[in-house]
Amino acid sequence: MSPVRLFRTATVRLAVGFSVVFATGGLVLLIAFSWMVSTFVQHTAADALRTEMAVLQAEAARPNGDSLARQIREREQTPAVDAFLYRMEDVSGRLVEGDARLAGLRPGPGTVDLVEGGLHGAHGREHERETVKIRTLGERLPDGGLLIIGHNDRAAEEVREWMWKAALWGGVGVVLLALAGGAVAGWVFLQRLERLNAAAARIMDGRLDERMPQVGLGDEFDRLSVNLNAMLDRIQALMEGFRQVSSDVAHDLRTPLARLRQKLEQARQTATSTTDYEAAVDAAMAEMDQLLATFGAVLRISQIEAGDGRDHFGDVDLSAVLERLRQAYEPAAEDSGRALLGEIAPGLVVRGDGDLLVQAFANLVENALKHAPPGSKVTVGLRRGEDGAATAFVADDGPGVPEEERERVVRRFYRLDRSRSTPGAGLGLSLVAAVAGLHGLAWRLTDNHPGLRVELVFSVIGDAARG
Amino acid sequence: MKILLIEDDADTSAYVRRGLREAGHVVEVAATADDGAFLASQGSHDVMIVDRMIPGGDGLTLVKTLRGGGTTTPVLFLTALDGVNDRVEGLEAGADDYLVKPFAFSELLARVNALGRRPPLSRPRGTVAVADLEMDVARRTVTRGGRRIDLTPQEFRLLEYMLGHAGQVVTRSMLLEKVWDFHFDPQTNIVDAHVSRLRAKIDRGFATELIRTVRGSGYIIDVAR
Repeated sequence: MSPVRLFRTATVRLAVGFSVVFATGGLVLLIAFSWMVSTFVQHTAADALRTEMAVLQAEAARPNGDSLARQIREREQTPAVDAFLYRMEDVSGRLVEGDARLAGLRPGPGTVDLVEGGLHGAHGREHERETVKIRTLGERLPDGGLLIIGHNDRAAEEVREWMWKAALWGGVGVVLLALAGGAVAGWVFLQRLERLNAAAARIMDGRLDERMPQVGLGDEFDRLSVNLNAMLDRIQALMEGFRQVSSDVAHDLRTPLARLRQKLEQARQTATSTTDYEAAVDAAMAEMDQLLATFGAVLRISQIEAGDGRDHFGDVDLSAVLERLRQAYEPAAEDSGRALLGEIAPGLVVRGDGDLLVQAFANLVENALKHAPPGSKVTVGLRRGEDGAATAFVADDGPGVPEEERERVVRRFYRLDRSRSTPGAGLGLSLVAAVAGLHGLAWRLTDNHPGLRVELVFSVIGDAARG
Repeated sequence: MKILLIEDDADTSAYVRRGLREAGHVVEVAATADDGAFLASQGSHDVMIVDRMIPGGDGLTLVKTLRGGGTTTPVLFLTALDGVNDRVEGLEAGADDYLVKPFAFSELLARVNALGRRPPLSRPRGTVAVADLEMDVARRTVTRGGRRIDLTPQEFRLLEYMLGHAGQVVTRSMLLEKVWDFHFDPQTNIVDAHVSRLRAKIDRGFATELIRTVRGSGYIIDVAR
């Protein structure tokens, strides 16, 4: 991964943005903190000067106390670290006692810059030559003179300096850490996404059964993978459907078309009378109608599978639908020597497309009547289940469908070997599957001991018997 | 009857026009929606046959416009689409019947006849009769020659529809749609089984058969000529 690309990632840009915000925030905090600290240090220094001033004057005012000049002398001769500096002037401003360098100061707070270097004063401490800022306090004496007390301001200066350094390095550290964190996060993120991209590329190359890996960046991203995979499943199913329809049309409709052509050719060669021609045309038309019906059914199944019809969902009295269906088919079933019985619980209302549900159940009834031998029983039923579910079923006691074939009979144009002689195109159960899919119904083919039993499980939205 | 045919496919148009003329109807033809709308506003037609896909606006819109303008002429939709929702959309737009291409001409003719001579919507709840067969719609009783005939509710509805179109051919798919509300082609011939039971009840033992099979089309209930 190139650095440019790394920088382009949203995460890194975010990290840079955050680092700026963090650094600014840190800097503001440090400036405020250092300002507060130096103010505190200044106040402390000013307090020390005031205290020293008070101590000196109080001693001088005491009846047997030492004079100011004496006190100053004593203090200057006592070695001490960070000692005070003193200057005592008379009314005319001449130096009476103390440090000559504190000249030209007025009463009240003030500052003066001293150049220190080499051996200095009584402290005997060696300094390099440097300018030192002295904080001073002056006060008028009762005799009209002036007393100046000064103190080295180095401590406050140093504190300020350290605070600035801390602010600078702290800011740099925050920025670097934020940048590094962003870079690492972006790199990790990109690495994970790269796996999705690689999977997508493989899918685009035609490996349609490939699926997106789990990214491992937490629930949100894994949900993305799950959703993408669900989308791919759906697309694959639709493509599979299209592919199958085209191959179905190509292979399975060719046979009846060839048969049609054969009939017409035969009529053209052998028919000698109008009656012969009429018979041939009638036969051709019957064949044609069957073909058109098959075409229609294939189209319809594709449309249902694509989700057409959901807009027209309404409340359907499933009990009434099934009873109407049973009554409609009863005479035809009777004429063919089969019994069509009903075990239909009344008053169950479901949500769906009434026309499509009728057609799906009609296909099941027709299948049962077609494949079960004369003398058998076909039952249309609807039973209340638990939790507002209802199971609708069509069962026969015919030969049934072997377990290993049950999945295949749902496919378009698939027919069991033994039913090749019965009319039909093998689309009945495909339509049932499509309608069940559209309605989100669970459905299964089971053994009726003997015979086949097809069950569809509905969720009931209205139940007249339970109110 | 005077029939307006709005259809852009020349072959279908010629085929339908010829068939309708042979059946004794007067046919006007329009190939676009605009021409169709113009002709519809000009003459009083008994039935309009409208293709759903025509140049210059689809048939759905045309029928909606005509209905909005107060035209009550019965409309039969023709369509090549066998969509799941097409029938519902067509009926919602104001069409009275619906036929999917390709169709048998006899089916179209039967439906056009049924539309053209439709009984008034507010039919008095009296009795309907053909020859000596009488149906009291309100009391739901049927008699022939004064003798009471017991019918199942389905048989009653079947006979009611046929009597409502007495003298006209009713096709199997018309019966499936109107009597059972089935809008698909069953592979099993369920209509014939019902009609033969109805026939057994109302015609058996009587000199004249009232329900006759019209070969290749459907059934007709009438006094035999």
